[in-house]
Amino acid sequence: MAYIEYQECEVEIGGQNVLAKSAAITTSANVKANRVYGGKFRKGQKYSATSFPTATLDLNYYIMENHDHIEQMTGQKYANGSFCGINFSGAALTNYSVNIQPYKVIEYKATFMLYSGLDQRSLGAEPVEDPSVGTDLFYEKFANGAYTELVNFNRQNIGIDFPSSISYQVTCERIPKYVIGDEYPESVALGRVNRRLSVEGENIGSLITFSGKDFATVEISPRSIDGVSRGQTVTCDGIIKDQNLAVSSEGVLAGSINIEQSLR
Amino acid sequence: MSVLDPRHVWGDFAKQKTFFRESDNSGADHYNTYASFIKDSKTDSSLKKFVYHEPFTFIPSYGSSVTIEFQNNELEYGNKYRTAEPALFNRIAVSFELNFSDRSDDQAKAITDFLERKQSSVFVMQPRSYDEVGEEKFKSLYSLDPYFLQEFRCFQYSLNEEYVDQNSITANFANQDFSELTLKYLLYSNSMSEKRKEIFEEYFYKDRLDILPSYTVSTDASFHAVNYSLGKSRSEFGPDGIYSKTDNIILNYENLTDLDAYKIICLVAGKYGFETFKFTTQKPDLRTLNFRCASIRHEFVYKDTNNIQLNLTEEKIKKFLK
Repeated sequence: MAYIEYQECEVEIGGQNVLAKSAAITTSANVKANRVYGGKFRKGQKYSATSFPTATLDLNYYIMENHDHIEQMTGQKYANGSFCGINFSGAALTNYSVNIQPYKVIEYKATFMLYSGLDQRSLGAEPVEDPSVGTDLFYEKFANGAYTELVNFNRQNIGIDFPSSISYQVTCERIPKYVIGDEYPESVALGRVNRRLSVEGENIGSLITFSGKDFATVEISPRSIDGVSRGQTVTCDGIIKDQNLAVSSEGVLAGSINIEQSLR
Repeated sequence: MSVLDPRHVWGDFAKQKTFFRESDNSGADHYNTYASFIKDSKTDSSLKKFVYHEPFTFIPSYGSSVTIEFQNNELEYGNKYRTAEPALFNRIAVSFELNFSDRSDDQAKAITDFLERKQSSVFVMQPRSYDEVGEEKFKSLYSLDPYFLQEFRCFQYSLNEEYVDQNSITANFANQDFSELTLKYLLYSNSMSEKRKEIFEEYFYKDRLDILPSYTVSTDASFHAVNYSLGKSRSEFGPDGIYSKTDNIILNYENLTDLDAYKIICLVAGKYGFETFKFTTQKPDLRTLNFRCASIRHEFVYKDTNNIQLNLTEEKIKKFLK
């Protein structure tokens, strides 16, 4: 058995490379076994595809530049790319999220639906070694939760003074159009787009009274430990969808708040 | 408002063939007249060029279906022998239930504009023209593979605006021109591939349905009885002739390849709804019976994946007119 070890997981998408913490392509075929009258299988056709296959690309990655090109793919933009020797095309971003915790490297996640199939270039290809991309060496380049600038994250606005974790998510509905005779969609339309911001924190104010109320725009500007911008400023300007207060024995009062913004 | 004059009804029908213009089809390499096109395009081994005026070119989505119905009169003879005979001359109704899912505003408007422009008049559905089909020219005669049928009327459509730039349309395209004399050309063109021709020749005339359906196979048995009642007495029932029971079976074929679907459609269509073919039921009621089939429903599920539903009625006596 041969193992392929990856020091760094470099994924090319949209013409640019991303240093991924992890990446996975998952394909799923919708097939059904053809059992016929009498209990046997249909001759020469034991299985059939009953609808189109699905393929997704999941990325966990860090930002080392002041611009995250993946965040720009929430609209009518589709990308080609490759990783692990597999080329893909027609990648449509369906989920984009940013997770921020104090003193931790800010982690970005993106999920793409792949609508145009895969092309196996060379499974088992040797990874490209690039000694200049050592994670430890470049730690200061990554966005860091401790240095990230938060605007309007206070008790007056969202009822929490000290956020302990922030999760920002954009979901993009993708609607593929299939016509008779085609295996892959003729086109993919952009449907509803929503933002969601989840904040967990302490020093809870009059949190519960805010439900359903509009609030001022909050902004998150990820920065590295030397204060350099990493990725775009993300904003959310919506309503407080749900809230939670929880306490446990020998614990502290903690709360969470979820804010949603419908963009399209 | 224009009304068909019954004194000139056939002349008026001929005028409705506005989709075939002789001025667009001149030259020796074209079918020059509609009469020549409609007759020779199915029998020529090498298809000549033809150009339609304003064809419907939109390709429907998966989930669309085609129903072929044979209109029969049910007859009952002595001893309760029941059978069917053709009800009309052009009695074979072909109906396309088409879905156009997830269409942009522009395409939805183009589809609905087309249907409203044509209203109930005849139009042709031709997704790919002669010049667009490559080497296999016979494919320009399809509305949907495997149907060599392109002339339709549309009496209704539904538009659902599901979101911004996202619409779904359902439309019913109907054709009732086929009879026993012409039905062959719903599924056959002399210019189609040799493999298809071999399948057609084998199955259109075959008298045994030997492609097994999927589960579940449903059988409804009905008993025929006469009842007697005298005065205010309760009814009494008794046997009614020697053919006192009829089986109706629903066969569902799921996830057939295009070729297997074509085989079944050829076999059943080739019986015109009143000739019989044999089908063997499995245990617990293992029997080989004669059946007729009054309707075929064909659903396009996915690429090379089709569902077919057949409603079979038992016939006591084999009927084969050829």
